[in-house]
Formats: sequence, C-alpha cells, structure tokens
Amino acid sequence: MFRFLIQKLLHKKWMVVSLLIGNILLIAIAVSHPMYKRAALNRMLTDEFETYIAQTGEYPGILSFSMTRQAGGDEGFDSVNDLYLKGESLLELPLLANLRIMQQTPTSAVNISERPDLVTWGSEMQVRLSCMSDLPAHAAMVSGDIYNAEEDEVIQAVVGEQAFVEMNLLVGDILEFPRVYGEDQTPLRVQIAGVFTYSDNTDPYWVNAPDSYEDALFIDEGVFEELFFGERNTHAVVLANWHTILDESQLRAENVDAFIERSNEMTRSITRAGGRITGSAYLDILEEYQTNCLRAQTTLFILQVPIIVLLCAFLFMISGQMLSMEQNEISILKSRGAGRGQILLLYLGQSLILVFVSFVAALPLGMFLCQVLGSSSAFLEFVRRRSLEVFIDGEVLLYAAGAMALSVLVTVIPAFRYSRISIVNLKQEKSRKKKALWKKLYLDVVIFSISLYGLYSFNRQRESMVLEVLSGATLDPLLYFSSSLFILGAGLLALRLWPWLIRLIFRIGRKFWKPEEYTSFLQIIRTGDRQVFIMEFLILTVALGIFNATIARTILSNEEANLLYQLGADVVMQEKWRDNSSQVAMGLADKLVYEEPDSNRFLEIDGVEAMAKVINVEATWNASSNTASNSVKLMGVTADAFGRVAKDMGEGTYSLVQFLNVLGSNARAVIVSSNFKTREGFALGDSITFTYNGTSMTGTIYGFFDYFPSSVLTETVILQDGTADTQENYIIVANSSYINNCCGVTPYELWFAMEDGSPDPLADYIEQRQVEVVKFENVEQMSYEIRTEPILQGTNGILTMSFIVILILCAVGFLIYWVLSIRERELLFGVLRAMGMSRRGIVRMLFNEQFFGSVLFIGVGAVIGVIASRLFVPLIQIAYTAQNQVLGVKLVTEAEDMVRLFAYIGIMFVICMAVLIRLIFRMKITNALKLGED
Amino acid sequence: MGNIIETINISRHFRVAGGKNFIALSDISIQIPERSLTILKGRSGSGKTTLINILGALDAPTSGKVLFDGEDLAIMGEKQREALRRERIGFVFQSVSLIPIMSAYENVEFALRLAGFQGNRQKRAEHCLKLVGLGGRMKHMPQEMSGGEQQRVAIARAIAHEPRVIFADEPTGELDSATSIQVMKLFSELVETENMTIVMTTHDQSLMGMGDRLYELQDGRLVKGEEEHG
Repeated sequence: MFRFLIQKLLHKKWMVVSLLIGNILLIAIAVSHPMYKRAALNRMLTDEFETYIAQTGEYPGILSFSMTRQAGGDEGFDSVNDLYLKGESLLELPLLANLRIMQQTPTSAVNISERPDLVTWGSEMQVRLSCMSDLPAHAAMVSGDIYNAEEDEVIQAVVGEQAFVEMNLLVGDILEFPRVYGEDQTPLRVQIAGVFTYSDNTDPYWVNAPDSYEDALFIDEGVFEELFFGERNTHAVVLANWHTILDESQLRAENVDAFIERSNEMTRSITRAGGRITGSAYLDILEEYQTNCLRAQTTLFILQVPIIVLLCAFLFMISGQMLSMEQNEISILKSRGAGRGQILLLYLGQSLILVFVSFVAALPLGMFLCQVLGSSSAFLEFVRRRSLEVFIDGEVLLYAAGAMALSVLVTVIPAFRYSRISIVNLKQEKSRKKKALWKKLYLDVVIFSISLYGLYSFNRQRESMVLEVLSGATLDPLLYFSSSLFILGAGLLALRLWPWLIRLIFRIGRKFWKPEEYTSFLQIIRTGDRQVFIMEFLILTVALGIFNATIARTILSNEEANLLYQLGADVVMQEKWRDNSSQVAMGLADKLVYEEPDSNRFLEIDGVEAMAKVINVEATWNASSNTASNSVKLMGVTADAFGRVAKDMGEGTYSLVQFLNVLGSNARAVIVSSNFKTREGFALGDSITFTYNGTSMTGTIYGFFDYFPSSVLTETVILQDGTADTQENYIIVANSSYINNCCGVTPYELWFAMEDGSPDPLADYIEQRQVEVVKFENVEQMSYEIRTEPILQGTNGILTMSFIVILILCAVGFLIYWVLSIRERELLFGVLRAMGMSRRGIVRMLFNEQFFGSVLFIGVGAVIGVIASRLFVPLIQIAYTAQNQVLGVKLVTEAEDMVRLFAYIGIMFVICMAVLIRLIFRMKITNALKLGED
Repeated sequence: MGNIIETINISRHFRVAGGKNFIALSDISIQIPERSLTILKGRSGSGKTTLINILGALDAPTSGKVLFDGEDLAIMGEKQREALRRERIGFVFQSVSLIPIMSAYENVEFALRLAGFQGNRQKRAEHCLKLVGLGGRMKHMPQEMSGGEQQRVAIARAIAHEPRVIFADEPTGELDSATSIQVMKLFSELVETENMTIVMTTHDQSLMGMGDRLYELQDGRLVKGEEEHG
C-alpha cells in the first residue's frame, strides 16, 4: 500500500507540492510559537532585571536577611544560618556569592599603642568586631596584610579605608577591649594587620562597599565564632546579615514559577526561625515579569490563530480539490470491493506521509521564522540584533505534533464525504445542484451579526478596557476573534450577493456579449458555487493582509507619535546648573539663585536645527478650594523659538502656532490646560495667580488648550491595589521672560529639533565635552526601546510572518486553482477551438472569468480589510498603547504595504495567465478532442 | 454538381516514441461533392478520424493538398482557418461535445454568436432545434438529456450557422442502433431539405448504405472509393 501511495502522490505533483507547502508552513508556524515564546520570555526576563539595575543602580538578585543572635546561644539563629548555608540547593540556582556578615554590638576599645598623638586626640573608641565570610578572597590590601587565621594572644584584624581614617589607626596598632574576653578571661587585644578595599569593584560580593563599614574591625570568621559563640563571651549579642547573591542570568523563563515558589519557601522558613527578610527585590521583578509574561503569551497566541486557521482552510481546500479529482479512482476502487474504511485509510496514510515529510522541513524553517520574529523592528522591517536562543525541546515537539494532527484532520475530513461515492451515485452527484449549507443556514448573516455585536459591545466598554489593560490584563481574545469573524462574515455575505451582480451584468449586455464574454459569464453563473471556497479564501487573505499591515503600522506609528508629543521635541535635555543651595542650607542666603550656563554653544553643533529654552517646573496656584491638589506644571516658553522645536501633532481645535501667537502678544499672557475651565470655571481674560520658588505671579488667560507639546491633561495611573484610576494634570504655559523677570533666572530645559531627528551629534558633544546633564531624553532612543519590547516585537514579527504566509498561500492557491480548472476544461477548449474560436478568444474568455471571479474578490477583500481596520484597529490598539495614549488614534496604512500585497497578487495573476496562455497555445485541438473520447 | 472539398495525395505522419514515424494516412485522394452525405468507413485505427480532422482544418497533412471550395488550406493562415471553421464548417463529435454549462438552446445560439450570424439568432436556434426534433427540450441542460438527444443538439448546433459542410466523427458511436438510424435519417433530410454537405465517419456496417458516397480506409490507405448511390 505504501508503494501505491507514493506512486499516487508522484502522479499528482501539483497537489502534493501545495499540500507540502501548506503543511510545512503550518508546522513551522506552530513550532515557532513555543520557540519564540521561550526566547522572548527569556529576553523579557533579562530586560526586566536590566531595567531595574538601570533605574536603581542596585543589583536586584540578592536575598538578604538578618537576625540578632541573643546572648548565650540561639536555636533560631542556628537554623537561619543553616538555611543560609543550604541556599544554593534550596533555591536550585547557582550563586554568585553567598555572604555572611556578623558584627557584635558596638563596644568600647582603647588604642594602647604608644603614639604621642593619641594623647591629644584620645585613644578610646566605639568599634565592632566583625567578620565577613571569605573576605581574603575578595579584598585587596591597601597597606599591611590580611589577618592571620590562627588565634594568637593578639588577634589580627583588617579595616576599610574609611574606618582606618575615622578611627585614626595605623597599621600595627593594638586595641584592647575591656568588655571582650580573650584567653583566660583577660581583655581581648586586637592588632591592626592591614587596610583593605575591594579587589574588583564590580564583584557582586560587595553588597556594601568596604567604606560603609566605618566602625568595623574584621577578623577571621572562625576566630569570631570561637570568641563569641563559645564559652568566653556568653553575654555577647551578635547581629548577622546574610546575602545570598543569585546568578539571575542562570534563571530560565520556564523555571521562574518554580523558583518563586522555592524562594518563598526559603523566606518563610527564615521568618519562622525568627530571621528578618531585608531584601528580595528580585521577587517583585519576577512577579511583574509573570504578569507581563502572561500578556505576552496571550497576545502572541491570539495573533497566530488567524493564520493557523487560514492554513487549515488552505489544506482543506487543496485536499478537497485533490479528492474531487480522484472521484473516479475512488469509485473504481469501490466497485472493485474496497470498503469505505479502506478508502479512508488510504487517505489517512497519504496524509501521514505528507505530514512527516513536512515535519522534517518545518523544524529548521520554524527556527528561521523564530529568528525573523526576533529581528523584526516594524512591519516588514528587520534589524540585526543579538540572535535569539532557539532550541528544540519537548514543548516544541508537542506543538509540532499538535499541528501535524490538525493537518491530518483537515486533510482527511473531505475524504469522509468522498469515500461515500460509488460509481452509481458519482454521476448523480455530478448532475445534482445543491444549495450550499452555509447559504441555507444563513451562516454569513449570523457570523456577520455576531461580529457587529462584538464590535458594538467592545466599543461600549472602551473606557473600562483601557483601565483593565493598564492594570495588567491582556487584550480580550474575543476582540480579535470578532475582527476575524467580521472579515469572514463580510466575505461570505459578498459571496452571497456576487452571483446576483454577475447575473445583472450578464443580463444587461446579453444581446451584445461576444462569444468569449458570453461563455465566461455563463461559466461563472453556472459553476460559481464550486468556487466559493477559493473566493472566500482570496477575500480572507487580502482582507487579513490589509488588516494585519494596518494593525502593525498603526500601533508603532501611534506609539511614536505619542512619544514625540509627550517629550515635546526630538531631544529634551537639562544641563546641571550651579546654584547657592549650600548657602541657603546654612542660612547664609535666603533665596535660591542659579547660575546660567552658556546654552548657546549647543546651537553651533552640526545636526542641531533649532533649540528652545523651556522652563518646566512644578509650581502651585491659588486654587479656590483646598480639597484637591493645587500643584501645577508651569512651563515658560519663548514663542518663536518654541515654535521651531516643538512638534504640533495636529490635535485639538487650535494649532500650536495659534497658541504661541496669542501667548507672544502680551508679556503676561498665559495659556492654560482646558481642565481649569471645568474645575474653576475660568474663562478667557480671567487672571490666574501661581507661585514658584516663593514668588507669586499673575497671568491673564489668553487660551485653553487640550493639547500642548509634552502636556498630558488626563493621565491614567495605577493605584497601590493594582487598579487604575484617572488623574487630572493642570498646566500653565507662560512667557519665559515674565517668569525670569519675577523669579530671576530659572533653570530651563533645552528642547532641540535635530536633523533627521537623530540625537547623536548632541550626545557625542556631551560626551566629548563632558557636559553634566540631569536629563537627556530623545525620541529615537525611546522608540527603539518600544520597537524591541518583546510583546510589540512579537506582534510585529507575527503580523509580518502572517502577511508573508498570506502572500504565499494566495499565490499557490490561485495558481493551483486555475491550472486545475483549465485542465478540467481542456475538452471544452478543444470544442471551442474546433468551432472556430481563436486562441486569443479563449484567453480573453479566461481573463474575463478571472476578472469577475478572482480579481473582483481581491477588490472585495481589500474593501473588507479596510473597513475591518477602521472598525477594529482603534480597539486593538488599546492593548498596546493604553499607557501612552494621549493623542487620538490615527489609522496608518502604508501605501508601500498595499503596493507589496497587490504587486504580489498582480505577479501571481500574470504568472497564472502566462501558464494558461502557454497551456492554450500548446494545446492541440485534435488531442484535446480525443481526451473526450476516453 | 461540383466538389466542395478535394484532397490530392495527402499523407499524415505522426512522430511516436522512439523517433519512429507512424503513418496514419498515406496518399489519399478523395472528392466530396456538394449536397451529399459522404461516409468514411473503417475500423478503429484505420485513419478516418485523422482524415476528417484534416478535411475540417483541425489538422494539416504532412504532404499533399486539401482544397476547400477550391482554396488550398495549406496556404491559409491560422486566422483564416479559424474563420473557415467558424463560418463554413460545423462539427459533430463522437463524444458528447456540448458545452456543459449551456442549455440546448444556448449551445445552438452560441454557435450563431461565434459565427457572427447576422439574422435573428433566437429564431434560427429554435428552428434548428425543431429540425432535430427537440423543440420541446430547448431549456434543458446537456446532463439532463440522453446521449441521442445530446447528439441531436450537437447536430443542431453544427448546422445552425448554415455552414457549407458538416463533419461528423462517429456521430452514432455511442448510440443504440435505433437512435443511430434516426440520426442518419436526420442527416439525409438535411442534405435534402437544407442543401447541406455532410461528411461522417463510422465503423457501423448497417449504416453504410445510407450515404451518397462511401470511402473505405484500412491502415491509412484508401481501399474502396467513389461509390455512388442513387
């Protein structure tokens, strides 16, 4: 049977190639999901840690805990210490360092060295005898030597540089501890053996810098235990700090859940034994990661569903086509006694062979796709960046198996119908004309209505959706589902109406149609039902293609527009200003006075197009009620300079230029955010008094704005309990000159318009001249961060991938369908040629048929795609930019994408026509006619 | 009575696998008189279909000449041959050659469109279908009719645009003998009443006597020819 199958497959090259393409794509996409997910999650994990380090400057991967050991021994202490020792095995994660610092409570010591200066400065001090595990390995000696581990009569100690100075010590000094007993209950003597610092300042071991131990004399750990845990100093109280420093780079995304569990178990044990957790920043990071992780997984999954469904539909279609070509064989097999089960088995076998062959090719393709996903920076754009770690594991194989099962299922399902055919009812079947099930059940109307209902209810919940997304929820899969249903339903609806349109066109010109058009219209009208599937397929591919392209483009351009608006200009920086704050602190001056740096030097840099000085400070205003906050953002601008750098995003009733014009018309003019109107009932011409740096100013309101560069009037904030709420921000924009006149020179930000928006020339200048800046933000950098954020990148990647797959499917489906439909009709062409129709006539006939069949539906698909984008993209957008969304969502459809899509389709069309024309020109009439004699 | 078609020593060779020549027709010279029913007789593989294809300008001889109304087919271009087939020739094939998506009426009307028939197409199509006895089944689709009915529609289609000659390749091949005789009678009537010239092939011995002229082919050669019947 195997050989029979192989021969059968070789016989149907075209079909087999299409089935293979479909299968390979399906499996590759399925396996790329877990591969990419894994890689993306790991990257997210790394990013989360890196962001924390960048923001706080602290290393988060440390579990710190502490406990005081009570005098005379402490069981709890011993068990906490035990947990510390077992940390690595309890957490099942490699450690960078495992550190214990023990210190006695401060005690007095006397420097008994013979030094004349001690007489003057005093020789008594408060110190702590301390020990730090494994210190010699991590310390570098500044002078003297490390301590000797042997316990002699005089114990050796080392101190940090800061302590060395603070305690006024010299190497070789000996301290005597009246209340700490050495051997024979005599006061302990400690000699300063050396001064240490860290051997490597990036060593994670140094949770606290050596200089932070200002009163510590470090002695050997063993000696410390001997001294304080034994019988000699039973009265001593010891404070221990443990730092278990995790190698978080070894933490894999898939182990995060288990690790959190283990870590929690360990901290619980520590707390139970009486220890106190003093630091576990990584847990918060990991928990935040878990939320993001769920979001990422759901989003990536939702996005992949349509393309998987499309691939299944493709396989179903091709498999059905193949079966319909094999109807004769099936009926012959059956007439020879093959049972229905055997026929099904035959097709199952065929399907399995194809699926396994595809699997071999799909794995590497899946890995490639995964890299493509990881390198996409925008829709159909890729950047080179560190490649993703991709590997094959059980989960990948599971996904592959799932996809293979799905493929077998959809390719064998059509066989159920065809396996019933016998030679007798084959002919009957052929002559019978049945109304399609979906038409009878009005599935198109049903699906379309459901999607419209979905759209309606999502639009109603819009506000709450924003809040949900902000508090960490994912986009409702039903939303994406609704959009897919919309495309599906609208497509079917178009297909229901289409025959009527063709009939109308046919009727109108019935008398005048040339034979070619006459035949092609009749062909469409009389056999249109058989083409419904390929038509719907065409509609789906084109509409989804447009929809995907629009989502991807819109999300990104929207994010960038919002970034630019919220920042205000290409680059916003603030130089560090000198002031008299130290004098103010000491009471020598009563008002803060700033020293203005020379900002104009930045204007001379190549690449800087324009610069504006913008005062941007927190101030207060004289609110009529004290119940709400009276803080306000005060901006001071110079109208003309500001107009050259600030970006007008085209929102709101008035343009930026109009606002700046009224502002410039009067020195005391201010424009204020429109929410002042609702809160205070302000009107144009009213006065508003505001205070900055102790100085009151009064301005006249010349305008209210909803949008002004960098101003966010209504902000959604996440409350402590994780829910989201909206917060009103109040903004006053005044003339810089007025603020400076009243308050003196006030520190300002510098806003830059850069050539091509690139901040590099400025950044280079700052680095070369070592300009001290307190703020340096630029749109390019922010946009890069957004583009490489795993969820958005995954989204772009998947949408790009879907788009490419759609193009391939469109091409293959189109080609296959038409070549087959030509082959089927070879006899008919022979007859037409014999009757004297020219070759060109036949080509014209086919062209007409394609035009009113395929091309028309490509158009319908495009229209549906555009409508679906308009209706659904603003909602889907919420899932990505809820946080930053200030401006209205603008749908972006890049002409380039559409050109690509239609160019591909056009090329397909041309290839198809070329194949057809070749077929027709090579066809021998006499041979074609003989075909009919079989 | 002039000859509408005349062949002069035509041969037709086919290249077959292995580079050999297969001689389908060899040195055939026949004349088809106007307003006659000519029968080309022979067993399967004798070359009669090849001959009728050449006569109908669907195929060209390897050597020799075919004169149609005195014109040499070989010096006509493809366009002229297409026009010839469209306007002056009608075909009836052995197998069912109707256009499956068109009803009986539409099939006939289509031939008129194709031939650029100038008169009232509807009247002419209806007339032709009545002529073949299918006046009552004009709206039927091919698959709803029997083999004999379909063949009669094919004949109606072949004669609709008033061609000079009708070529019928085994028109009775798939029909029972009673239906075959009906078709033959129809041909005779068409010659009588419509002044048609009909050339047909058959291997059916019982029909041989119904033609005006009979040529017999065997292995691509003419073995018997120019038998005139009353």
